[in-house]
Amino acid sequence: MKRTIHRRSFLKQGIAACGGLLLSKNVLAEQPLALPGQSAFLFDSIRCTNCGICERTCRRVNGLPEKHNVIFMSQQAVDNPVHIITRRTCMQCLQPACVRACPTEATSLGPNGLIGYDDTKCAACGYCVDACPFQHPRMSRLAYFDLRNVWVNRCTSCGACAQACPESALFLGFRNEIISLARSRLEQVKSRYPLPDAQIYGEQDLNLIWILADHPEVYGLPPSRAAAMADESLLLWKSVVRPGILALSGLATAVLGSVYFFALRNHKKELKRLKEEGKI
Amino acid sequence: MEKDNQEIYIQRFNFRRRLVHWIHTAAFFVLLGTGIIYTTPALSHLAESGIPGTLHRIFAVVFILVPFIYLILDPKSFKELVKESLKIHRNDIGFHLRMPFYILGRTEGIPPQGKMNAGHKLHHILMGILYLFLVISGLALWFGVGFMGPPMFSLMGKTHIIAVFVIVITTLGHVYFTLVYGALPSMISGKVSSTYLKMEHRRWWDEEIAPTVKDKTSK
Repeated sequence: MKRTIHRRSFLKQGIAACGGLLLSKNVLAEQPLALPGQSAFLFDSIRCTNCGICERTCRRVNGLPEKHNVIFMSQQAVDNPVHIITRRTCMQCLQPACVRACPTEATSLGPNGLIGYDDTKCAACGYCVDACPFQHPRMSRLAYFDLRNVWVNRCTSCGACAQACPESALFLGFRNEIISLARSRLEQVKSRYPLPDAQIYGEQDLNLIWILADHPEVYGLPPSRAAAMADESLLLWKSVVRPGILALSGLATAVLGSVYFFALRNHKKELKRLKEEGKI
Repeated sequence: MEKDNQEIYIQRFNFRRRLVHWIHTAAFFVLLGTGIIYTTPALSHLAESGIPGTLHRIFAVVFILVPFIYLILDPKSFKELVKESLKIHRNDIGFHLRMPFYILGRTEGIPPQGKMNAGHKLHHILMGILYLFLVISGLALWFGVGFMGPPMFSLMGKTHIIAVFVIVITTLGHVYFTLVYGALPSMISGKVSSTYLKMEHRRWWDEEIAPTVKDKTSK
């Protein structure tokens, strides 16, 4: 049986298919984001004892100002056989929205694919603070009027915390090795503890891979792809609208600048003619 | 009103109005310059000192205060400006239709314009709307740090930069026409020549200025 397709329905289907492809959020997600030499952190929340050594090491190694920190550990007792230990710090997103948001490249990706922060370049605009889907960076409210004395609690990915961890709960290594380690540890956890919901978090979109004893929401963690979605929401602004506007503004200035000389000549001619005709 | 041979000069802008105009201009260009430093990758290293960011915020306060300064300094003129800008005349359509010719320096065929031409009206209306967009998004980006989250931050950032784009194009047109038609001296001295008025604001000249000139000259 011969099946005919009307031109109108063909066009409709074609437009719908193109729109679907363009709007699909997986277009960006499926790109190979992790580089071959990509490093990553592993945080085993089950092995962590919340001793606080990582917090203190970070403060000492990086010479952080008093009463400031980059790592915030917390612990809560729940019905599980293990406590819920949470590590609040840079989540090392694979698609870091903070890097896209930063206007001065103070926040940038280092050669190991981890996020670096150079406080000498920081202009204290606060963009990274709001771009972060994990609310990691925090900034002093008086920073704007205190030019160079800016404090933004950003992780520099120095790795001192991982080196100092006495419980082997924190590792820094190549991403593929870290993920293999996380998977084997998860198997061990499941064989040792009655934790049916224990899981790996961040495998798709983070370079801080967590081993969780329970669902992410118990740790106050957003659903998977929150980081990628934050970055995609900035993509239009920073990578399309901004360069487009700069180019169009430059073009408009150049066009009017060139037309100006013709217009001025025309205006002078018209002025002269109207005066001769006695109209003005 | 002053006479210079056949040329007559008419007071168009008083000192207070000119002062507000130049405060607005200064604030706008400092904001634009410091904003460009933030948005242009090749210049962003200049923002590292923190000075452009601080200047942007200081002049943002000036920019926000401009309508209030005008309202306090010269309430009568402020009301007149708003009223005139919103009073749409049928000749305004003709003005916009002849815009390509006006850009090329030709005023012939443009219907006679009042004290405020259709371009001024559009410029003022756009400035009012863009003021709101810029102030809301700008204040959100300034004081909302740590409270917005990625979706609101992205929305405010896009709103700010798009509003800046429209205001840049509007201002570009404003500066361009000022330079082509030699209108800058009127915003410096406050006076405009009769030749300029007959060419650019014929309706205003015919309806309001010419009769008073005749009255004075006949006396």
